[in-house]
Amino acid sequence: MFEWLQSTGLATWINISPWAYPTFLTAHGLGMAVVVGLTAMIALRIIGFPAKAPLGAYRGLLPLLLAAFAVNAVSGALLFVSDAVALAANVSFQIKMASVALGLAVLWLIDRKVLAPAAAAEAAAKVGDTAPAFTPPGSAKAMGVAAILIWWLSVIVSGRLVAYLSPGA
Amino acid sequence: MDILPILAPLAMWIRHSGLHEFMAASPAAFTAAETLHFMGLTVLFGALLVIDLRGMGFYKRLSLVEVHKLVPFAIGAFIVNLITGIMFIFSNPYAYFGNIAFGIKCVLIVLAGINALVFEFAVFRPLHAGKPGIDGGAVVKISSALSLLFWAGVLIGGRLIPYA
Repeated sequence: MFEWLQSTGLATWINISPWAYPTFLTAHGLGMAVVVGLTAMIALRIIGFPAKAPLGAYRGLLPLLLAAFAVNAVSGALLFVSDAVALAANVSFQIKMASVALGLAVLWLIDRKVLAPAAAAEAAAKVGDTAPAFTPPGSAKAMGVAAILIWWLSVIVSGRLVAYLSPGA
Repeated sequence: MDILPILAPLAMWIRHSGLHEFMAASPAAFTAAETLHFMGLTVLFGALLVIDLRGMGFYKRLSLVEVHKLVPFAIGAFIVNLITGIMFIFSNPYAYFGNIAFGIKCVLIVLAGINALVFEFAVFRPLHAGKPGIDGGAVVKISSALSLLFWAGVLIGGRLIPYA
């Protein structure tokens, strides 16, 4: 299947066009900055910084984060097609894909258990309430740390090393 | 594009430095610096996105004074990227000093720096000193939008250095 992918007209075009590959690579870099950057800021807030910023307001960052993820799914698929056989066999690439899947699961968990309840509680809070609108569960900080370790460490390091471990490189 | 004549003595000095010897002889050091450069740029962009999108008028429930506390993260990440970026230059100064994408990237970093000072002194400090009228004004919106444009340009320029 990977041989077939790599022999398609699409793959040939990406490899021959002088601008296709650099363009998709640049889009992938911009998308990475948004996905990993916003994940890091959400995680940082869950861990407790900046403490007075309402946690539920951070939920508003998710549509932008997901849009950037879509950009990277498309640009990543195009980059993959251009060199499918070598990439599929690349251990660093395999670790990156597993990390992305795990990272998406953690983000989903963070929204479900932390951001969505926080946003709902803040919307229901009355002016003058002294108690915090929402107290994150004890596991919330662990989810924040996991999100940072998976996206900022595992995805970036394995993604960068793909270029150096590719058998064809 | 040839190397700018004004940078020739600097390039020569770098070529004879110990750091050049180290970077040129150690592919692992270059890869490690590159990985750190990526980790730095994501933190820089994450902090700037939250601050600048708020400055542009999105996410109004977040106070500008509160999200401004993320600035040290942006500065710390920038310092990591300045150091790792200098390591790239030391590995092969002639490849960078004659590269148009690198040149554009450097100009945009300077513009982003000037813009950050405008934001700090024309927006944040007056706001912090008790002038709430600043928030929502034209200066904060333009400065915030320019910040994101300049830094996106820096990222694009950097990514295209190998192809320029």
